[in-house]
Amino acid sequence: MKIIHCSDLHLDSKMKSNLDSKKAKERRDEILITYQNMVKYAVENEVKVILIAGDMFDKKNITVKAKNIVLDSINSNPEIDFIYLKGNHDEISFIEDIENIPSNLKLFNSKEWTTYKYGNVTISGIEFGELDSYEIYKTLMLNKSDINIVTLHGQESNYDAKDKTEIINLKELKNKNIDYLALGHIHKFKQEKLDTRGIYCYSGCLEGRGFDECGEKGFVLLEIDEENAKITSKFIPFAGRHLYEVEVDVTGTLTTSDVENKIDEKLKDIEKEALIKIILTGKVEIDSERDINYLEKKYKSTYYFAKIYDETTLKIDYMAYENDISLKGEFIRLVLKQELSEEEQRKIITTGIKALSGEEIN
Amino acid sequence: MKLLKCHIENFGKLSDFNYEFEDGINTIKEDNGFGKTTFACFIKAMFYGLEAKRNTKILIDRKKYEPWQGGLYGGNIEFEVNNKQYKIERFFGKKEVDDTFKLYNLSTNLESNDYSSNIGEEIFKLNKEGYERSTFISGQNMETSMNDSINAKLGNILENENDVNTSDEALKRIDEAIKNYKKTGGRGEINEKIKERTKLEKKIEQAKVDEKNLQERKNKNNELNEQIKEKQKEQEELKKIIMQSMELETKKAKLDNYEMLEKNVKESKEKLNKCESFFKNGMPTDDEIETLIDKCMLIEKCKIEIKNYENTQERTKDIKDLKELFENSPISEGIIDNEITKCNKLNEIKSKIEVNNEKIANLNKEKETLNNKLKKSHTVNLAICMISIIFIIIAVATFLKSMQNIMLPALGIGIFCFVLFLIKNVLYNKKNKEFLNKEKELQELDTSTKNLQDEQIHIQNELNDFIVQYSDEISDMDIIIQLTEIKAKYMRYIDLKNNIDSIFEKQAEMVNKFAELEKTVKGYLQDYFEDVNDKYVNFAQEMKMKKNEYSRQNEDYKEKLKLKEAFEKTNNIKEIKTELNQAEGKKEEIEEKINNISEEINKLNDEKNYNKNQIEIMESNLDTVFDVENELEELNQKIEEMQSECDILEKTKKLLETAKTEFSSHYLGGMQQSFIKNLNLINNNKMDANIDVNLNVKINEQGANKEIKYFSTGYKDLIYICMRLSLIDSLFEGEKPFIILDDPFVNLDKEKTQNALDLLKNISNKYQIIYFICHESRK
Repeated sequence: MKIIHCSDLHLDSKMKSNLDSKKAKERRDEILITYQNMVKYAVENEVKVILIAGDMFDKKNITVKAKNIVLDSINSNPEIDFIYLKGNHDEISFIEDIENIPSNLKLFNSKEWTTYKYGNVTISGIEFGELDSYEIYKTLMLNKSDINIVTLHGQESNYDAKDKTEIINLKELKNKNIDYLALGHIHKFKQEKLDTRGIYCYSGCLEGRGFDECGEKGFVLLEIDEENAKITSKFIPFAGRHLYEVEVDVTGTLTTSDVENKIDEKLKDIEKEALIKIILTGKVEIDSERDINYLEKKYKSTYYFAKIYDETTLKIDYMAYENDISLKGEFIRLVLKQELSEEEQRKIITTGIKALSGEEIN
Repeated sequence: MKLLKCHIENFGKLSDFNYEFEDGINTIKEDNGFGKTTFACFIKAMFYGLEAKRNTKILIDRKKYEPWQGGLYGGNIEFEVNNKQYKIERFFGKKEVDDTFKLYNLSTNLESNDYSSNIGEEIFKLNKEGYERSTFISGQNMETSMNDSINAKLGNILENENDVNTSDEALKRIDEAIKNYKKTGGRGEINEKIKERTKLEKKIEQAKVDEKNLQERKNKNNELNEQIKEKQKEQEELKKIIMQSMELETKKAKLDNYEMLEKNVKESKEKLNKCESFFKNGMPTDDEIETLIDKCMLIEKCKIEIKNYENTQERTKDIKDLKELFENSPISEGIIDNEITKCNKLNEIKSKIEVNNEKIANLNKEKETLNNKLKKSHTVNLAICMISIIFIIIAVATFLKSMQNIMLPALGIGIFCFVLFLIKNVLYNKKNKEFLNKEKELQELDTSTKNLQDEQIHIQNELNDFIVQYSDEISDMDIIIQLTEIKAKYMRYIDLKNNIDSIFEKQAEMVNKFAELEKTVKGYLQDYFEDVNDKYVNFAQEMKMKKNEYSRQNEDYKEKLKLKEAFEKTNNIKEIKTELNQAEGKKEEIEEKINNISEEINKLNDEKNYNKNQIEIMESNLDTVFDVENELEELNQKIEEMQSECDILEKTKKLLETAKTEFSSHYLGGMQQSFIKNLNLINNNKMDANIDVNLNVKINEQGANKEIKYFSTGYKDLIYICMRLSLIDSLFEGEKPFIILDDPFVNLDKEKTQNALDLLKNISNKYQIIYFICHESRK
């Protein structure tokens, strides 16, 4: 028996990567397509269950298109069970709006543990919100002889939460006969040992939406040998596009093309379809020249999306300007005397020098 | 401070070059191309070192002055400062790390640590750029300055190495950049974006309202669903009440059953009555109906028989004619057969005659041919005989004349021809005999034919005599047919003659029987059918059917009646009816309630469907809000970026203005004082001058302030030199530097050149001057 464990799909949700409206819309569509491709993968690989460990959507009003695509994927694949646990971001309206919930869409609730059985394989889950953590962990009863998968949505922790927030106390879940704890909430894949018997795993999100979600994204494929009661899990990278945050130290560069060379060096292994955030760091000379707009335009034309943040600081030798009897010297001394942030000082000095050298000011 | 001497090991084009400096003016007269700038740069390099870093705009001096001829790059310079004499020894490598710097105290000749390699800045309190811009005065610079206003050029001295960009231009550029973002009257990029933002915010506000409405609709929908569920529950409850009493239901079932039985009896009775109505004139027994049917069948049979007799009667005339024919000339079947035999014989004779005629014709033909052949053979025979005789005579004659050679061939031919004649003659006789035989045969045939023809005529006549008695016309061709017809007629005559009497009797009998039967049957049927025609069997059959139907219906009725009576015996129908009537009212009441609830549910469903449609419309409208939110976020970020950039620009502008004011005012006082002093040194008339913070120079001449642009070119040059010198005065507050003049007076006339030289002389008290010229006239 094969099971797909995925979570935090955040279908149809807001992009967090400074994309323009057109690209943001395109990315939202791409995330929906990746979801559809995952279902296609499930069909092709004879997966019995797609287990969604929360945050399939993250807002009340999902577009009609997204709603229809998800419903259609469920309805048109009756041989696959979609077991869906609501997460902290999931609003109720998606399920509520469906008049006839498809028989292969299985849900959980926040009142008690719900278990779905497939031979000797059990999939149990509970949504946070109503019960306190003591009751949640106390009421989880699993047969030792079964292959037990438990799903929850929340932040892993090793302590109890007094309130009803989404904290998963791993200590309390130990020695409960869990073979695989399928978690959602954290957007990065993580798999660790839970106890002597089982493991816990965050599948991570399916596609990165912002630069806080860089790296490989996808889902976990579980293969269960029911006869020998064995579970093997494998992370399947599945994202259509990757996001990268690249820090480029441009210390010592004097010109835009120097910076360009440094960036190129760092980006050489990154695919053109990627979304890239480039952060320029390091100390630069006061009269060095860097056209960020130009660079951004250049990398935007090469990659799917690129954004450049200039976080460089000026390499200022205060002594060097002490005896500079020029307007430039006077200006720099004056700026450095002001109570301004280092970034502001850098920007003002750069602008002033550009103006004094007759360069165009963007 | 003053320079003492220098040694250039290698520096640009200069190699192994030594120079000893004097106090005051050091005039160096060299042609153009000697390397005056190189020399000046060497001095600067000794005090300030050489740029190691690549400059973005100009070629660095290190690269520029690399020795042309190779060798050690650098040299030394000796100087005096604060009453101490030193020697700087510097050599340059490819990079700064390869440079060497040594400072020697000339009084001890030991290395000194009084100054570091940054000795220039340490002595003059001015960085390299400041030193460079102020102490090197070039005539070339002055020439280009002629095209521009002096104050702008002086401004440049204070500003940057680029002499085309002034602080004013820089400020103007910043101002323009600010204006792009902010313009008066609510214009500018930022305001445009803010306007856009307001529009988007309005859209989102509207969307929030819509979202609230949507939620309300959804809530309403949920309420409706709840209400529908409630109503459905209520309806189910009521239905349950109706179904609650099982007994009542059983009774109801019994009553339904009884009503069904009643209905069956009634229906059966109605059907029976309908059947009975046909037999209103009396119910016939089954036997009666069977008899009737038999009679009808008999009628049909009579009809057929009578028709047959009628057909026989039609043939009576024919019988009469036959009777007449054969009774007048009595014959028998044997006679007719005999005549037929004759006829056959006649045909045989006819065919024999034809055969004979054909044989005769053939024999005549053969005889003719044979005759012709005989005639021809006879002639040939005669000719051969004659030839034979002639040749024999010739043989005899030649024999006689002993003409042996002719005699023998003639005799041969003669004998040959004679033998041939004999053979031919035998053949002729044979053919002649054959001819005679054919002639005999022909005669025999003629005789036989004649006999046959006679017999033919005889038989023909006999047959004609016979036929003429029974037939109207005679022909050769159809004798046998006529005879056959006569035989057929005769045979029919014999047949009819035997039966005709009994037929007439039977016919009369049948007609009587038919009339009697028809009367009986028709009379009977008219009791049951209105219009009775002659198809009596059909009526009789229908009657039988009706009777059967009646019997069956009667049985059915009896059976149903029996069932009803049996049910009445076991159930008290009257009591059941009373009970059910009492319950009926309540049930109707509940049913009405159920119907009402159904109507309410329908109404609620209608409302729910309407609501659902509205939700779908609202949802699809709200789909676009997402994009608007995204756009707004993008815009907010853009505005924030623009505001931040604008803020930076404004701050830059403000600080640059402050820097300019502070910088100018710092040096302005000293400069003005020095300028007036220098100006009066080159001018015989006492003059006053005013320099403003923007370094605009105005000269007070005869009580009037005059801008520089109104002075002559030569005068402008002088003013420029004065300004430069006053700038040096002002800049070098501590140790006074040496001044390098690169032939600056090329544009001046003799008088002004002298004035300028006087000026130099005057300031040479304070400064050591290195004065490069190309021509004696400016010495």
